[in-house]
Amino acid sequence: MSMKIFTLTILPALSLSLLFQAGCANRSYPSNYSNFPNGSNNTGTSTTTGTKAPAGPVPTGTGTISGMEYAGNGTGTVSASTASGAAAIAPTIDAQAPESYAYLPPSVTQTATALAQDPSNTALRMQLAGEIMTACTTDAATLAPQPGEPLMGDWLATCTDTGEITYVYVTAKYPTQSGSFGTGLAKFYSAAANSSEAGVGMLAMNTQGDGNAYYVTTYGTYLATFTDKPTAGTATAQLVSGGSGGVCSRVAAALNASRNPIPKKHTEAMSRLGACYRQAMVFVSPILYGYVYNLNPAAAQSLLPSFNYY
Amino acid sequence: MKKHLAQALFIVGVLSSLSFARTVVPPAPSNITSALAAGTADAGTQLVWHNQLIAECTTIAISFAPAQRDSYLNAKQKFGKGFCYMSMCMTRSVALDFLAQSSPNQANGGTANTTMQTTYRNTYNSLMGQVSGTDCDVAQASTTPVMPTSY
Repeated sequence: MSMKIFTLTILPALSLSLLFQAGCANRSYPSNYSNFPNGSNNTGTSTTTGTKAPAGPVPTGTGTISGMEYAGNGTGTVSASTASGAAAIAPTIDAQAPESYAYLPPSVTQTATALAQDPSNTALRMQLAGEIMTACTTDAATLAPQPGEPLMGDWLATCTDTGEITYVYVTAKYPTQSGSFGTGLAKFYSAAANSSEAGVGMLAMNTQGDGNAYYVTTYGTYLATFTDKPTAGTATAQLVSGGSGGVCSRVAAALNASRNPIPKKHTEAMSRLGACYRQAMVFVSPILYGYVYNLNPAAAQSLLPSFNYY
Repeated sequence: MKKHLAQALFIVGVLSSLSFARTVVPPAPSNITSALAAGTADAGTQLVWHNQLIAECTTIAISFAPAQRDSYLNAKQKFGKGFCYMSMCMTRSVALDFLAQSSPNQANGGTANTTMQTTYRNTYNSLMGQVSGTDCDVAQASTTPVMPTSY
């Protein structure tokens, strides 16, 4: 009987479960994912703002692009190397084509220059692709979340037993300089006394993003303790009155207005990566390289807007 | 009774499978891979596909963005997940390029050396295996890259 139940129920369920697991390896991407190239939802969200170089005049003949010499000398043909299949490209060097190099990250201009002078050099092409990706990922990594950033914003706590101070605002700011995760500024405002800044205290954070700040007022010592895990509607930050320990000894402070930059930076980082990958892929692929290299700049940029990124 | 039990177990089985969602890059549509393998897609078409692939990957990676009030640790994990996802998309792009090179094309001058064709196809399979085997929900455990000392 139990074997029969197992056969009729558990086994099919388990099989289906495994089947679903096997088939659901790709399940977690959004349902609006389209089967390119027929998808219509490529709405350009990968485009990005940033240090976009202005489109300069199209160079002709031997010229300089962003301080970089290249060997475009009119229209000519480079003999194909037979070192590999990839080197079998015989790109027609158009003096205008290397304009796209103007938008490469500065750190790769030396290799880009060398490749422009020797466009059939497969090793240089791959080296440039690697350098572009390194530069891009390094750039995007600077947009990673920093401890303390979720705390940025105005924190509000209410206290009624400290005389003239009825509201205390705390503004947690994380310093913009990189590599310093230790301190920030916590600004304390007394809404009741006046709207101006009452004082600035130091906000210290550990590597987990937790932090605390304090400011000594003439009415006593106030300690604002933060964590990096504010939940919707309530905050775990607390305002503690030192000394007397009245009803305000532990008053919850709520994040009144968030200025957390992380979501925006996440979007920016992914956009930059996408733009860079599209650009790097042209140099990774001998097929795409040969194709794009022979396009005029306008056509190349319409196909590869990422060329405008840098 | 047995019928109800079977239905219940079936639902449990399905639901349990859903709880094991993984974040991996979706495979390329079969019509594209077949066109690349057959060498019937020209370079311009490949470029369009490549751009669309990266654009869609970017859209998906952006969708991993943390909420305004997400914690630092959660945000860090989601950033790593996005980074992982984009890297896998790039790997898939490279894989598709190897697939394209395995047939007569612009890069090999219209001829496909049998040995190289096999090499390119093997490389394609290897890279796609890496892509489909990487779960970015797991791979994002640390956003601090550790460079290998040797390999």
